[in-house]
Amino acid sequence: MLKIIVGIKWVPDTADVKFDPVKGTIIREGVESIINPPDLNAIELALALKEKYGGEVYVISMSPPSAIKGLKMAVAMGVDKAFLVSDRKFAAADTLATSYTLSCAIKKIGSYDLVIFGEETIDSATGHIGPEVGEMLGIPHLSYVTEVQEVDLQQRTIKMVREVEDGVEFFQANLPVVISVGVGINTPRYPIPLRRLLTELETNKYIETWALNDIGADPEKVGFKGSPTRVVKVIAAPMPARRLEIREASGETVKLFIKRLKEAEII
Amino acid sequence: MSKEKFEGVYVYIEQRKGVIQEASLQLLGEARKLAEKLKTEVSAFLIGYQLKKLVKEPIYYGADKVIYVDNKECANYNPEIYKTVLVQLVMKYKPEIFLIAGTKYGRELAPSIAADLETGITADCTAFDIDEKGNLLQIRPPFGGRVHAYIITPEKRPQMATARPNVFPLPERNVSRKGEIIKEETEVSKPSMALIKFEKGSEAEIPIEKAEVLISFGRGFNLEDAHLLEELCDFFLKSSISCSRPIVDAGLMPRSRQVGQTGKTVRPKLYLAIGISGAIQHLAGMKDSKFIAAINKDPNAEIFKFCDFGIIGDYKEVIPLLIEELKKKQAPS
Ligand SMILES: Cc1cc2nc3c(=O)[nH]c(=O)nc-3n(C[C@H](O)[C@H](O)[C@H](O)COP(=O)(O)OP(=O)(O)OC[C@H]3O[C@@H](n4cnc5c(N)ncnc54)[C@H](O)[C@@H]3O)c2cc1C
Ligand SMILES: Nc1ncnc2c1ncn2[C@@H]1O[C@H](COP(=O)(O)O)[C@@H](O)[C@H]1O
Repeated sequence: MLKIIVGIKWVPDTADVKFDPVKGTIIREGVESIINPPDLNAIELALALKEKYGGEVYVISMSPPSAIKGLKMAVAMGVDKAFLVSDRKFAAADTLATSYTLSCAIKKIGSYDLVIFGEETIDSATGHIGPEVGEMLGIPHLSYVTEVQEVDLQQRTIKMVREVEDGVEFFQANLPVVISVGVGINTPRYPIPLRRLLTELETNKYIETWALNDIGADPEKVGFKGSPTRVVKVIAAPMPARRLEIREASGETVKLFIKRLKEAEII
Repeated sequence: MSKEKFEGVYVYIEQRKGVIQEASLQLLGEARKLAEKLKTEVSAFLIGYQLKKLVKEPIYYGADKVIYVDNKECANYNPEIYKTVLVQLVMKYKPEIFLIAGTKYGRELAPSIAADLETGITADCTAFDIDEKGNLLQIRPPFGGRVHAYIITPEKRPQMATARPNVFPLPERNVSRKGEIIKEETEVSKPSMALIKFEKGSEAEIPIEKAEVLISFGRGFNLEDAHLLEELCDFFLKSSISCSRPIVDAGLMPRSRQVGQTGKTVRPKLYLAIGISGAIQHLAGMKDSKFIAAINKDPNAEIFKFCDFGIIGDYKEVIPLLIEELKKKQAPS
């Protein structure tokens, strides 16, 4: 029996996000939200391990109530239960405060063998949450995991593979452990229509909402108050100006291209 | 602990198997600039085993002080052990600013240290500065690089950040620079996680972040034509082949060759995008290349809005033409 907790974030699809250069704010209105892509791979890994070793898969998300849509999707994929960790006091949390809140929620769930996160989110893209939560739970953490080779439930150990710049590393760890996984390590399954229906009919059975008091978090350590970092300003990223010399393919175009490469001292 | 007790700019110098990673040396240059603005020193933390040959390197690249831990248990990188060692060093030396290169090890190590110290941390910075109050301005590009966020850590110390590799230039190596070298002993407890095996990746070619010319291909390119890429590559010195993400996701190229938000940041002299549409996540990794060229059969491809020279056409026709012309240039006339 493996008890696995997966952390997921409901994020605006960055491809659609617009930026208001006058106000200096991100325009999220009208932007579709999705489960952060690698988090789907995290769910898939959890479900595959459950199928192999038996057990339960829980999903948690710290978010405003709108994330319930994402949690329902996770349940429809086969997750046993989802927890929405939601409270006004959690607003404007940086990664440290988010990790603290998530670690309180994980402690409240109680026993677990494996906690899986996505490698990073498409909106904030820090990759902080996994390592920070591991630290706060007092258990080891490994990022960039591509495969769980084996779980030994008797010895309570796990064998993992991960990719770094210069090669592939094989790790063995005692359970419990926190890992982060990236997009592409597996193919996430689609939600099952019947489970989707069940989730809609019996939402309360599958999804539980926890506020600050429910997870016993210190109000000084959550949300804006608990965040050591401050965003001072956000500006539109300047794209370096380009020559934009665009031509239809032809012998002449190719000659001109080579001339430009010479001028730029590339050849 | 009061903020005032924290002083100096510290850089974690990452070594792998006895080789100092260039990304951390790049950070030393940036650390020097910050230290000058704050009128303080640059120090380096170095961890490993049998480090004798390496300890002076950070000095040559701009550090005033090197604090190192030489311990058999640290021979290979282990996130648990390295974190414990670095936390002890930070507690003892109390850096005002602590920077870590955003390599895979760095991006894993840095947040666990920050969580242990309960301080703030900013990921993948692409620029730093000091604000009027003396805080570290940490500038990073979230939302796929569409915006730049300016972040500070006003109260907690150290102010921690990781920095994207290959954004800052490598400082010149100056062997006449002098500095202080301090050996530290720290406690290393038995880890609950161990590296059991390492398999070196087969990197025959130049790593893409070091190439001066990148021939990069995307979903519009058929790998049956791979010989065209190789032929093209041969015309340039220090050239290499990279790709967009769908190619890696399909298992056709190793992840080490992927350019973009979830891949590597590159800034070659020439980036030639073949059959790449120019998605924002791809641009995030190559937009600072000196010269961007594109071959794409769709005249409306996004990449044509962000390139210096664009050729509208099928690569199957364009590349052979290009090869032919390049051959003519090479032939002694
Ligand atoms: C969280 C997240 C992170 C991501 N990170 C990255 C990343 O790091 N790197 C990355 O690259 N992508 C990344 N992506 C994916 C990105 O959004 C795009 O999907 C991807 O870059 C598209 O790759 P492509 O240009 O090769 O393919 P496509 O978008 O399919 O473009 C193929 C192009 O080839 C052209 N073409 C087709 N046939 C020919 C021919 N015969 N001759 C010439 N041209 C031809 C077509 O006109 C088209 O423009 C990420 C996405 C997400 C959601
Ligand atoms: N608010 C959140 N609730 C639950 N999990 C989260 C949350 N934010 C981030 N995560 C998880 O942490 C991973 C890394 O996120 P980040 O550190 O923001 O890049 C994501 O892929 C998620 O698995």
